Amino acid sequence: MKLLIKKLAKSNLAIKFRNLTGFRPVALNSNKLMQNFSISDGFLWRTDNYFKTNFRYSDLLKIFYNKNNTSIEIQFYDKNNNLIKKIDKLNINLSDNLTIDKKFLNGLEDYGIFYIYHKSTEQINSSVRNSCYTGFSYKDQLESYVHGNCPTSYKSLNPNINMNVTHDIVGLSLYMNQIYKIQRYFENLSKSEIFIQNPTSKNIKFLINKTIYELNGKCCIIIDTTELNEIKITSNCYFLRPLIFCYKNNYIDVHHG
Amino acid sequence: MNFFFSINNEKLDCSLTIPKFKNNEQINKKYILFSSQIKNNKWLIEEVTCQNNENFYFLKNLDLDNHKIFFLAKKEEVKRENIFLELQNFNNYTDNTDIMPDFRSNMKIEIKNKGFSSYQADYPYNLSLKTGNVLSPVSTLLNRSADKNIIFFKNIYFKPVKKEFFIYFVDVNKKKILHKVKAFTNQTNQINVESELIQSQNYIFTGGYLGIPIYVCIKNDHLSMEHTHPPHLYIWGYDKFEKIEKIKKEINEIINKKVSKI
Repeated sequence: MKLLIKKLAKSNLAIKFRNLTGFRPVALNSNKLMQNFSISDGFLWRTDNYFKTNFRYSDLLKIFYNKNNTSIEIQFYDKNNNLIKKIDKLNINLSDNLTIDKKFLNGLEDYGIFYIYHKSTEQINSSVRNSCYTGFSYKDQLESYVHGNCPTSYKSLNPNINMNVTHDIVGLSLYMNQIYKIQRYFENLSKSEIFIQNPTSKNIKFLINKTIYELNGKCCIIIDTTELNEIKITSNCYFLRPLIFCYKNNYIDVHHG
Repeated sequence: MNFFFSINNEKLDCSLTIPKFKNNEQINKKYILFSSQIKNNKWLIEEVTCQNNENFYFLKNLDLDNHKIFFLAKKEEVKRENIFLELQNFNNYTDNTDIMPDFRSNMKIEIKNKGFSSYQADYPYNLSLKTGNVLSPVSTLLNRSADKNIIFFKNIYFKPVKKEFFIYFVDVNKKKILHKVKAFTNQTNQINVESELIQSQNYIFTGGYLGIPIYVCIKNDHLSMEHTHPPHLYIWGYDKFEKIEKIKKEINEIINKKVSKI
C-alpha cells in the first residue's frame, strides 16, 4: 500500500497537483525522461543592439556513449515563440560551435530562444541533456560566456520517432508565491538587463520588484533593470532564474542570476 | 553549507559579494561572515569585518587571496573554539536544495576601469569531503584567439593540508597526455593555457582531487569567466555515474601507463 501511494505521488498527474497546490512541489520533473530522450535547455540568442551570440556545444552521444553517426537539430524561435529557423548538423566535433548573428538569421536584429536536440538511431539506456554554453559578444568584442540554465524541452533521441517537442519539465503553481531574489548587488554599472524565459507552455505572470509582467508559454523578454540595486522576481513558476547582462560602457558581463 | 572563494591574480582585481539572504528572500541576521584558512596544519576560523549593508557583505581585493575561504554561520555554532582539525558543516543555511536554485555569491574579476566578469563562487561542503577526478573540456570556454587563457582550479579539502596533485591535459581521441601541471589542495590554482592546447578533443583531468574549474579569457581588456558543468549533469538516467566512471577509468589508465613509463 505504502509503495503504491509512493508510486502514485510520483506520477505526472500527482506532480502537477503537488505543484499547483504547493504541497511538496517538484521544480523540475524528470519523470519518464530517463531513457532515449534529448533534453535541451532554453538558450538565449540575441542579435539586437550590436550583439552576436556564439553557441559552444558538445556531441554528448559521442562523448558519453561512443556513438558515431550522431547529429543535432537546432530550432530557433523569436521572442514570441514563432519558429524562425531550423538547422540539422551531421558529423559534429566533440566540441563544436555556431555563430548566431543577424546574417545567420536573415538580417533579423532581435532576441529569442533556441533549443538543441541530439539524434541517433542507436538507442541508449539514459537521456542526454544539453546545457552547454552561450557567449554574448557586444560590439564585436570577446564573448562573455554562460552555461545553460534550465532544462526546458525534450524530444525523442531517435529521429524516426515522430514526436512533438514538449515543454512540461518546469512546474507551475496556482499561486504567485515563488520568490527568487538575485543574490548580487547591482551598482556602478552604466546599464543592466535581465533576460527571462517562460520555460513552460502555459502563461505565467511575474513581478520584478513591484512591476508586473506577463509572458505567454515558451516566450521570453529582456527587461531593463538599470535603476535597480536589488532584484526580486515573484512568480507562479518554480524555476524562473534570469540571465543578467551588466554593462560598463562598452564592457559587458553576462552571468546567471 | 557552502563555502565561498576568490581568485588572486596580479592583473585582475577580484571582489566577492556574499548575500546575507537566501534566494527565496528569507534572512536570518544571526548568520554572520567567517573566514577559514590553514595555519599550522589546522583550520583557523575568524569572524570577518568588512564593508556590508543590510543584505550583503562586500569583500575587496585586499581581503582576498587564493587560500582563504568564507562561510556564513551563527556565532554560537562556531563557539569560542576557532581552531579545527577538519572543516565543519556548521549549518544548512546556505545549502543547495532540489527545489531552489543554489545559494550563490558573486565573485567578480576586473581589469581596472575595463573588462569585468562574474561567477557564483560557491563550493558545497559535501564536495570538500570527496576525492576523485574532474573531467572538463578545454575548448568550450577558452578562446584560441584570446590574448590570455587561464584555468583557475579551486579545490577545498576538509583536511587542513596542502597536498600536491597534477592536472593533466588529455587528448581523448588519441588517448595521450599532452601536458601536466602541478596543483595543490585548498587553494585556487592558476593554469595558463597555451593556445595549441585549446582543441575540441582536449580535456583537463585532475589526478585524485575534486574541485571547480573556472575558465577565464582575456582579449583587448575584455573578460569572460565561467565554470564548466560536471559531466554527470549532461546525462539523465540510471547509468550516468557508471558512464562517467568508465570514461574516467580509461583516462586514469592512460595516466598510470604514462607515469609507470617515466
